[in-house]
Amino acid sequence: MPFEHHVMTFWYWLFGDPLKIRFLDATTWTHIGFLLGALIILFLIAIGAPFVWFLMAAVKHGPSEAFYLVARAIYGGATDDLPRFSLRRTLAVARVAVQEAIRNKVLIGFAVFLVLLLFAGLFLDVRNANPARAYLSIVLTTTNYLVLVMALLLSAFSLPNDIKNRTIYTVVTKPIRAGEIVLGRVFGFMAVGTVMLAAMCAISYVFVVRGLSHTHTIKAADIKPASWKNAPPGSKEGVTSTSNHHQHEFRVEKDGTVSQTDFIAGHFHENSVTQQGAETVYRVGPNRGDLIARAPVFGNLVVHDREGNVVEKGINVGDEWTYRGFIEGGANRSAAIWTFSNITPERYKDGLPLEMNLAVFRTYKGDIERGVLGEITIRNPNPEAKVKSSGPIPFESREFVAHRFPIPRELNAAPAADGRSRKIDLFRDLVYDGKVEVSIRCVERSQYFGVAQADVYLRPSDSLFALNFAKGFFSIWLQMLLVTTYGVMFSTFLSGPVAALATAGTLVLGMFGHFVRDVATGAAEGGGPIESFIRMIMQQNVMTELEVATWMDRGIKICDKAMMGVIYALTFVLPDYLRFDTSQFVASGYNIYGDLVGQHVTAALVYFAAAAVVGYFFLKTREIAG
Amino acid sequence: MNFQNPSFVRKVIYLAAIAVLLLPIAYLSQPATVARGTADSKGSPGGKLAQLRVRYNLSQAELGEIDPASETMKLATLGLRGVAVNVLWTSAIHYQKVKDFNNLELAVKQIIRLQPNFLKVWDFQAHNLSYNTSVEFDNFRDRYQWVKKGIDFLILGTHYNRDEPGLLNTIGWYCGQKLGRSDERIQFRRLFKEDKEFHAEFYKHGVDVDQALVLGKPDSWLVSKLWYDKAEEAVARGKPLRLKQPLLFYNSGPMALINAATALEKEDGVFGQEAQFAWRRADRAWDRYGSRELLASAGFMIRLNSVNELRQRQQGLHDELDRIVPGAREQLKQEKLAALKPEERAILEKPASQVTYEDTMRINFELGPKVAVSPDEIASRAAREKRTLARDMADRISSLTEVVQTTGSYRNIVNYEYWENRCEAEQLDIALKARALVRDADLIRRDAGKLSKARQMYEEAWENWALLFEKYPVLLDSVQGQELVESIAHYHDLLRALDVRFPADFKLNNLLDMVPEGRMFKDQIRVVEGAPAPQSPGQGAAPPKSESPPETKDKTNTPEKPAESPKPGAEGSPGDAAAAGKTEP
Repeated sequence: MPFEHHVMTFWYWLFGDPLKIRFLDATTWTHIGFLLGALIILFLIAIGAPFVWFLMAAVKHGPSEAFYLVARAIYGGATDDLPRFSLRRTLAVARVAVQEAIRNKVLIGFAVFLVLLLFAGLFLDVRNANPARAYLSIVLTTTNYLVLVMALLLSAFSLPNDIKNRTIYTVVTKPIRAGEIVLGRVFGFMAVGTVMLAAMCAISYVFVVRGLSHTHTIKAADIKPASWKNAPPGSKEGVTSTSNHHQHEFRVEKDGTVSQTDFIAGHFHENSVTQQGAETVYRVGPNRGDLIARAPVFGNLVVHDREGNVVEKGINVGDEWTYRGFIEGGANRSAAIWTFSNITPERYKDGLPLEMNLAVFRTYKGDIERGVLGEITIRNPNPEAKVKSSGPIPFESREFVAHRFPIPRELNAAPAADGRSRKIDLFRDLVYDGKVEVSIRCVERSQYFGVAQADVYLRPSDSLFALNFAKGFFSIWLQMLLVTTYGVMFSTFLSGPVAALATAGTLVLGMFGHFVRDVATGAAEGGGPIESFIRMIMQQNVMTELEVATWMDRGIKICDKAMMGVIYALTFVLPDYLRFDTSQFVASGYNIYGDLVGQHVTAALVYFAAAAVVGYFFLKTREIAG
Repeated sequence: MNFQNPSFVRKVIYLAAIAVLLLPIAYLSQPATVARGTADSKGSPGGKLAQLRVRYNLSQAELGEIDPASETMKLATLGLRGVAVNVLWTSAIHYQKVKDFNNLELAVKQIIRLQPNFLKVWDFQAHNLSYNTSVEFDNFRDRYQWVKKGIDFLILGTHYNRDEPGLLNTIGWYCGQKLGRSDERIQFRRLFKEDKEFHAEFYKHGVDVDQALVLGKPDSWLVSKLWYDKAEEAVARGKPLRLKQPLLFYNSGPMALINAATALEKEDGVFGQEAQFAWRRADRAWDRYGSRELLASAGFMIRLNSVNELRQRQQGLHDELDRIVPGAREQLKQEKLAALKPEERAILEKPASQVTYEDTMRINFELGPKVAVSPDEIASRAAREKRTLARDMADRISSLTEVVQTTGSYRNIVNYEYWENRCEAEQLDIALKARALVRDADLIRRDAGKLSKARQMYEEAWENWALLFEKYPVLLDSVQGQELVESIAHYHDLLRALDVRFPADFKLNNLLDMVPEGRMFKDQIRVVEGAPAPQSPGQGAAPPKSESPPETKDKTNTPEKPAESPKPGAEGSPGDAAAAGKTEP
């Protein structure tokens, strides 16, 4: 689910809502924007890191020497290295890093990718209800893991090897600065990675498009008189040949025109019919609708309960997953209202291109031959407006599909007191200050609609799939940048294998940060590392008390708490790699919207800068120590 | 060689240790080889592991198809298969939680590639797809597709686990029970009949749905029977019956035929010879099931239809014991009765009509065991020269009693007697006629101008049902009885539309008293018509219930007209009003 989190604009994400933050109330801290959060963490690191550094140096050199050491490094960095930073020297180091990467057979990673792609057909579930999703998920996920492992190995071993082989002295004896070495390495490895990733992107694109490309044929014998309800006389229906493990159905109207096929396996086909002499020839076009990038325009959601009060979320109908809240059906005031902005006739000349993806929850079976009935009302956000809303537009629920429901410009007004209805214009009568409200209700008593912010949106036009696919790879590139930077940073003070392990640790913590937080806060059962280990060895259930002596239990819990505390803190400092993962957007056919890309780029740059600075100081210290 | 160098010595030791460790590994895992060349030459049976694999049919080729993708994945995990499986299971659970069902399906298919021969995984995940996931969808067509996915998944399981009876039986269960018992059964069974793609897939896997046609289209119950048959054939070929109890495993086939016959009448409205034939087929299958030897959990074999024969044998042994130790049984019984307290004895001596519920409970669970005389007790009273013979007889009685009790309890589990009677009864003309009449009457009961005819049909049907219940009283207390109450309620509505009171001497009063729905219905009549509820033949003399005070009774007797107006539609029919006038008593 690409929109599992609240859809945020870039500026909201960056600055949050400072007015809602109360210093003593932890529940309001969710309104802290990334900028403030990053500044707090960086400030703490900026204060804490030199102090730790000082303590460590004090053990070895004594306090005064240590203070001098730390102060000189910081002062030198700020007054000497930073102003005299040279991009030319950095690029020279980068060039060496590129050559070194190629020498280290980095292209093996690329070969592995090709081999995996060659055999991907064995593991792909081509009978899946949405093969495009399976294809896209597999290429993006495979590339992601492969590239990250490659970046890890490349970055973590390079500098330690140079130091071990003493080839580093050929560099450090030149007038080159530690920062330039660190950045040069990162740039060099990233250049190699970028070229490889670009090639993988192109090959993957061809693999996906070619793998999904197919067509069907239609035989005249497969077209029969229509059997659907209220079919006009003379109309027909047919079924295509089987291709890629599926068939499509289509209709032939009484005038001989052929409809597009139904939506099966995540796509449809356009059909055409031509007359060749006495013979009618039907042609099925290529697959469409599977490789798309919907560019939804989201609104702000407000939910009203049955009394009409605004509530934070709808009712929980017992789902463990609380993404959606549910609104109750029947004669009550329960409704979900989305407010859309920038609604102008220029942008939406044919009306509102509404698309819905509502969930349905029935408390009784009802008529299972049809969906649950609901109604949409277009409302004017201005309470003083003469026309408050349109009349209700009925609809039948369709679950787990993007249900297109275009709202035309000309609408029926809400019935007047005398029962008469008149026509109104969407933009003239209901749009106020560029805003309009879309209210959705469930009509049937004791039935429910599940709603979340991203469930109802406008879809004026789609983005280019190829561009979205490239954006998906750009997300992988950002992750590669982070892994490379962390790898280089660790390699400035650790040996190769240990640096690789540490980088892998950040990767794992970054990917499983949520789980680690759950373990640390006790939300996940089973205890910390020591307790879990004992439970695994002793085969003890996580739901029971640990079967050891009381004193031992207490000791284990204290040690676990200390360890988990450190790891818990680290999860806030390290990047959350899952947040950078946009494969679900591409696979589910949603455009990776600009705000999200902006968020990712900003976050990646902050982490990159922080890691590069830390790496610079470590390398500089090493120089001093040397 | 420099043995002074410790590093060199260490390496030599390591190499030697590796070589020594390789020997047992080679002994254990040496592969088997087949003979080449002359007919006399024999292949090697291989190492211990290879031999064990052959002995227990555990080699991959024996278990099922060898899937290169599965084998590659198992190898690619480099011994971390368990970890990979755990990660995939966690993902699958997550996808299910966030309703990402496409990815759930993908994850499940990855799991089974790593655990292809773990039967519980197939069982669990197929249930997950067919039952848990399908109900998440609102559209019944989507639900049907997910039920199919579960069945497809099980069929895939039979590739990896060839002729696995448990999986084949479960496919039958999903085809029958899931498609035929869900809330959406009408829609599911309709979709199944038209699902040619699914039929073709079944055909590919050895199930020809053309052998299971009803009205020219495949019937899901009968198709399920074909899968059950395949499962039974696999057992007959020597495949072990894992994860399934024989009692329930062999019960599935006959029950599928019973359900098919029921659906034929109830859903398709087919009666007459076709229905009779369907019931006869079910009856024969049930008889075969009753005659089949089943392994009981106690370790001995039983036959469900042998209980009467066993009881006769048991009685014969008791008589034999009584002959060996004459008078001992009666003597022991009197002694035990004498040992009871007077009030306990009074309970046992009460006439049947005065025994309360509490008395029954005490007799069954406290007093009965106290006065019961066991064969061992009788044997202990035997004369010295006959004691060995008597004890032997007592042991034989005990053993037989265990078999009788187990058979009885197994019969109860599958409701054997009821289905035996039902299959027999449903073939009778009166049953077929009764059902046809009720269904036809249910269909026309709201048609203006046909109310009187509907009433006539209902009443004829009740007479037939009454005859049937008289002959087969065991059918009274059943789901079938409950369903009949619905039609009786329709009959009641019809009578109200005709302005006729519900007859106090209703033919099926026994049924109404027996099932909870019937009792509720009678209460409703009491409220709606303000008259005493119809009474069963034996109830006439029963005193009025204490909770019905006389004044209430008087009140409820007063009104002549029904408390509520008749249902719309029936009301405005002049023809029927006239008919009602004619038929009113």
